Amino acid sequence: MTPPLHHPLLEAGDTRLLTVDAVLAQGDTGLTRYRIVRFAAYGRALLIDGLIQSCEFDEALYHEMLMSPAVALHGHPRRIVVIGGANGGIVNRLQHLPSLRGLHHVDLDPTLAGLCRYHLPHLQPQEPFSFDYRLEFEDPRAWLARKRGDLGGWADLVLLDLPDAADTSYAAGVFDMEALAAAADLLAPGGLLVTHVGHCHPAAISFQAETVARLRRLFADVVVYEHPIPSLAVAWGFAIASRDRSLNRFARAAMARRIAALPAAMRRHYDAETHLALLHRPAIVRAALDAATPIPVPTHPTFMETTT
Amino acid sequence: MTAEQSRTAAPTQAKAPAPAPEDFAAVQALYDQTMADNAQVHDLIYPKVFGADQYIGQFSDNSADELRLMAALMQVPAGARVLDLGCGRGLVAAFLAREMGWTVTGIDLSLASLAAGRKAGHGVELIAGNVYEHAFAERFDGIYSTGAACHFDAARLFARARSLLVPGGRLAIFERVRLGDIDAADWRKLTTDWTCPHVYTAAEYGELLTVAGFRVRHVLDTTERFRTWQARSVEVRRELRREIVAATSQEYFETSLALAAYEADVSRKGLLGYAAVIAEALP
Repeated sequence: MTPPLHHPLLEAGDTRLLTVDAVLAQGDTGLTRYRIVRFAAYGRALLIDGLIQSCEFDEALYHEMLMSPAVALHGHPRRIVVIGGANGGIVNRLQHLPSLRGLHHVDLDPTLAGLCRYHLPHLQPQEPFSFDYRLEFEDPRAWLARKRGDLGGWADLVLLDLPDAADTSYAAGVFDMEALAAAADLLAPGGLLVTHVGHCHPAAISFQAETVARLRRLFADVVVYEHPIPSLAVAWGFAIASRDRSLNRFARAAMARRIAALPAAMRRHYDAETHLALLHRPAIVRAALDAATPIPVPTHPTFMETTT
Repeated sequence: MTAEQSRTAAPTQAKAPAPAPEDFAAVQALYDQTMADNAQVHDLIYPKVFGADQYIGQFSDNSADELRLMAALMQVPAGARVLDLGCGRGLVAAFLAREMGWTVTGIDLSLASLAAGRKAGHGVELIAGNVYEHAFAERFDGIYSTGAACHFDAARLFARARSLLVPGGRLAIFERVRLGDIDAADWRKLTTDWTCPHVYTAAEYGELLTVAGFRVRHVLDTTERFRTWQARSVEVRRELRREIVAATSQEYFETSLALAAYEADVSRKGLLGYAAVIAEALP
């Protein structure tokens, strides 16, 4: 009998109990405290610092909600930077994009990535790739500082697939102003940055409020949306940001055509109807975000709407 | 969500008798006499069980990818000195020396296995002897054992391994593990018949490592694929019946098939699994 796992829903005061069928791997790589388990309800799951990162049951939902709206909004990303996500779930979907020519990928922990290749095969891409793929293992914050010059203005899409920004996680250092500014500098004209912004529980939404506030200070336009993720027991928030274009088209009906044009691997759970629902944020969440927003959001200089 | 609040209780322990005494004369006889022809049959069967690119001459129930993963989890740098404990022909040692850039030394009791390894000429230093008795010139940065630790009393083995490792050195045990309560008849088949003092759970390995002065860094459960390998080894034996009989005898084939089928059955019932436990030697 494997004992159940107590998983925190909030920072404190709300923990849920998940039945564990098997612990497939657990340990500490020196960079990451990890556990790979098989949940009775949600299948194989990766936990970092005790927090669920993805579950087999709905990882496709999470990863599509992270990347597919931004890909559809851009339309034809040729060059993509992925920060994090080497444990799987991202490249196995991006590899189906016909427009993709080059992908720079950085993540922290090669040992954990190796464990995930073994125990989470459903998240892994199939090589060989039809595009230039460069994977490096390094602290993403240091990598961003190092690549800010070389890859400045290179990317049509910068995709941050980071763990929760827990105090113990390197991700906290990528969600600060300096690292987000470095990530923004990688964008080509018309390029988009996309990231998760944490859960949407109105009782503890400060991380989302602070992250969105930082994005609004750095970018001309930011669209924030959410979708329920059953294995995480809450809705999860995501943000797409642009330095030089309005993201008004995100709410337009024309998105339906772009969504239909996505590779099938990127729209198992993401369709036009789901897209429309993404922007309908509950009043209780909006109120919580307003109350938690730490600083006034400055008005950004005028921007030009592009026609991509 | 910022705090580490996930917790699990200690796993329930399957019951088992106390470890029997080690018997290295019997272990040597097993590999040099009873199973002297086994390597030849192994080389016939296991490229088809694991896949041709996943068989590198290993005797343990692990694919080459699983051995690579174990080595990666040891986190021992290139150039380090590593001991393969129970190295057999030394083919895993040669593989990991190439893959990881380690300087690997192998030690084994089986003179037949070592002779076959030396004949293969893979360039790894192979020592004939008992790890408890051999006087090694230097301590090691890493020690691993793949499918050989079952012949040892783990408490005694880990104490010896600790003395052979530099502080911070890593020990990896990749071995069959007990998952359920095993009855007396099965216990005898899985221990006495294979000259194994005991079949430990992964948790017991962890506890004994802690007592011996290690900190457990990783526990990797490979039971799902182990069951696949076990079932596949029965299928492949049947497929290769003619070749196996030609290389050995009808009696050998029947005995080998019955043993493989028995082990696959025990695994399928959830009594046996496979796991790697990787630990760091504390200063």
